[in-house]
Amino acid sequence: MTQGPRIAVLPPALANQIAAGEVVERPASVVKELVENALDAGATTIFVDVEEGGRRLIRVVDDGHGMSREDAVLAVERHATSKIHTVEDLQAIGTLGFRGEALPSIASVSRFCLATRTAEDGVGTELRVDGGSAPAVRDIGGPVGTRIEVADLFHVVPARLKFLKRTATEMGHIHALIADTALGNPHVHLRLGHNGRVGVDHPSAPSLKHRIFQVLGRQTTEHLYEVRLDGPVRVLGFISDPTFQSPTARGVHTFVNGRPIRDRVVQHAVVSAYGNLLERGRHPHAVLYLWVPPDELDVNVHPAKAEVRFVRPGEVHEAIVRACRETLRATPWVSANPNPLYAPPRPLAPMPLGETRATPLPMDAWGLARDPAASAPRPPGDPASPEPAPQPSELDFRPGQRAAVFSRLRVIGQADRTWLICEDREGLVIIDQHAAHERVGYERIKAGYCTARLARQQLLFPLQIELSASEATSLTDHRDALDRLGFAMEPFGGNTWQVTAVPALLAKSDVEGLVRDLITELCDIGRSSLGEAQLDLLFATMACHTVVRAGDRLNNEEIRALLEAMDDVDLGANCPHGRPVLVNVPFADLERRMHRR
Amino acid sequence: MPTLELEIDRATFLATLYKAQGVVDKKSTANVLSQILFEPTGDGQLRVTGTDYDVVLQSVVAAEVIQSGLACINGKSLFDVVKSLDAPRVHLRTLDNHWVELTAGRSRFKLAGINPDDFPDITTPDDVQWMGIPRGTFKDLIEKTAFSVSDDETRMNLNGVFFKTAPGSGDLTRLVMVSTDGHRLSKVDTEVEVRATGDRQNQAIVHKKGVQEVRRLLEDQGEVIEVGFAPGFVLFRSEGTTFTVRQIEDTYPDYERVIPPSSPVRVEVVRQRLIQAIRRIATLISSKTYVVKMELSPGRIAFTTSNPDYGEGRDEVDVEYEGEGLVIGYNYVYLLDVLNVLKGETVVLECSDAFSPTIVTSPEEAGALFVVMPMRI
Repeated sequence: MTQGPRIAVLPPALANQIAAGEVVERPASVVKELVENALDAGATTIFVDVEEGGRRLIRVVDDGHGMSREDAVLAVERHATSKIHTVEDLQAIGTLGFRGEALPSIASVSRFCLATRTAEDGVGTELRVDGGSAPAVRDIGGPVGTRIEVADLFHVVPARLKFLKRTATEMGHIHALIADTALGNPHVHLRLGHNGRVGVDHPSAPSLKHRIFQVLGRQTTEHLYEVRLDGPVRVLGFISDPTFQSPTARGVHTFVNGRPIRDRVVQHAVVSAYGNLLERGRHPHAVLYLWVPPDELDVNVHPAKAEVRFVRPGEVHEAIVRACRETLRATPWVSANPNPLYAPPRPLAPMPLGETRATPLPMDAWGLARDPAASAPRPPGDPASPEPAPQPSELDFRPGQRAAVFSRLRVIGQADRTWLICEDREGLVIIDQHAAHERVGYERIKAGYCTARLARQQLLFPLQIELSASEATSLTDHRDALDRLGFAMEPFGGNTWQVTAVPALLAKSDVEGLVRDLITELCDIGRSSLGEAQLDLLFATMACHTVVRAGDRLNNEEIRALLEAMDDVDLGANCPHGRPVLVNVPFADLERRMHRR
Repeated sequence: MPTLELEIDRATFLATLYKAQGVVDKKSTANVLSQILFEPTGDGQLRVTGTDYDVVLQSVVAAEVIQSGLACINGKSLFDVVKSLDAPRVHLRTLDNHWVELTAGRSRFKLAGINPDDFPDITTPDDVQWMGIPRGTFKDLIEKTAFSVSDDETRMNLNGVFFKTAPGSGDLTRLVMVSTDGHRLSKVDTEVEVRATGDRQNQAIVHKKGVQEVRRLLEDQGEVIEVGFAPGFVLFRSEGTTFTVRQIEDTYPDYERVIPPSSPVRVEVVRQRLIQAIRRIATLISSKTYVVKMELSPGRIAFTTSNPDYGEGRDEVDVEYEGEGLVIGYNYVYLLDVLNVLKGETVVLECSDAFSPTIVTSPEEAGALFVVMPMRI
């Protein structure tokens, strides 16, 4: 054996092929890199054509600002990028691509051809690389912009070729990618063709809702309601009503600073905002855009940039939950109920997708327009996005005289052991007994919590609850909050805890079930301190245990007591889980239905 | 199906139907469990049976049986009809379609019935240990415990009263009845002379529904109520009526453990004064939490409430007490429940602090002891 140096610097071509393994996993990753480059170049039209699922050819043509010859040659060299120049720039990345790995990596595993021209140059540049060879450069004519063709992907790494799936599968990935890109960039005309046929074509959309309609279709769009929250973390977008759910999270499209991201914190926040409105393991549909200050976000976690890391995940989580809950609590889908019999108890501000909005949603306000001069997301606090007006804390509780709204109703009776039928001068009022009770319980718990006046009942027989290690940990973390909620708990050796007092409001309920539900909730929340949204969840969980269920028989006296209690608390029109508490049936409607008018 | 025809004294019939309709399901008319079965026993008597599976009522009453057969009629409507009649005797005869014709004086009814074959088979236990308990004693046991049975259906074992019998001193038998809902506990422990045929060592948890029905038995006149223990069942018998109640087959919590043997603070107070003070304060107590604060200081007990929505109140009762000041919160309903089932002139409160159980007893009612757990804000 000859003794040469054991360690050698890899030739650039080989290094690029290795890097390609990280960046270029499958044709969709090539499309992703090329489309992102096009967007970074300020393109407003991007046409993608693939053949045989991208195995044979991927062509991306854009009308961006193009590259000079010098830049084009540099672009296929590793770590050549126009987007960052110093380490400091990495802290505040506003462009989609930045690593300077993509083009050389792609060029090293394919037959690569780049044609580009800037507005300043009269002559364009064509550049060919075959499996990482030195680039061959020549003059070419053509429009301003860039055209990149990637042919015979992975022909130099047959091993990788074997891992590609069927054409349909690869196309599925590409379609998903184009959909995400389209949702993230409503103003960009995106077209995807396969084997010479146009697959999808999304012309530049005048508003986000148009783009959602183009990409997700009518059915989904009809179920979506606007979400909007300003603050250090801005949340904008649309979420579905709880009836429109699916078993996978695929319907949840999330974008962080314009980048399509699948993130656990974000996904979890969306689902937990729905609380009990969703069955366990189900997911809503959503298109959500998050803007966090660039220095609060690390996008340089994954070569394909599919993951991000938040500096303060707790804040992001809470912002999403709060934003979504606000929309869910208003139950805009109830007012959209086409049945004229059912009018919501209060005129709820309708939350339609733009139609009744006085001014169409300005895309700039969404930070979605990407004019090349300001492609970075505007920092919050920017004059164009005024600080949110200081809102009275949700947890404000002001006792005082309350109007006899409900107790003035005349009770007619109970129907199906579920509905309380009452009347006032204008019509029938039908109350969901469980929802109403839950709402009352919720308000009382919340009020008691905020005034630290939740009375607790000492238990005669302390209850021992055995927990898993992680449950015990989260109980330890949140013991103060539980104490404030009226639970006295102490460690009882090992992972067993002892409950010695419970909130008086819930003293008659199934204590063990209640405590276990709360602990499960706390585990989901994790270690972060409890914000309003999380407390709301806990209140709602507790309220659910207070109360009369559908199916419980109530006599008129009990109904009266409930109505009085409803006056007693600051009753919103919905149960804590977002369902409406009551509907009005005006006599006028009845008369119409009976053809008396 | 042979025709049943009989005549019966209206008052006797009504008293029996009263007990039976308490057991049967009043909510639906179609259900066999809402029906009452009538069958002559052959010796000029009529057996009336009603059940909801957990409780079986069987009552034997004197009737003039004209023709022997079976009838099965909705309990609620029959009871309502008989109650409204004014004739002294009622004539009853089955019709072809299982209906029943009822005549009394000038009144005549045809009531819907079902095929008696559809009535559930009633199995009554045969190996029963009976003991005859003085009615007054048994009534006291029930009245002092029934109110604190738990309604929480997830804790089955607390959904009834715990009843235990054991040989006592001399010829006496010790009877213990306990109930708790986890926040308070009632216990009566007494010794009386009972007529026992077999073993005097028995115990059972009697479901609250059974307790409720047995209270109807206690309205009868007899001196003695018979209580029987059988595997899985407890039976109560008086004046020809028997309630068979399914036991709650679960272990009852160790109640002795939670009763403190002694407490540092002991106050004797006039019961009615205490009730009046709490009632006055209760007018301002929030229906949300029911908390009343008891302030104990030398010479007096004060009850106070403060509710941001309604106002504040304070009421005092003089007591002989020289110890330290102490403030304890209670659910006022729990206190009133106890004070109302006691009958003596005075009651004794024993407590130690705002977290520990408070004991209520009455010097005139030995054997009755009540534990109330405090509330805190």
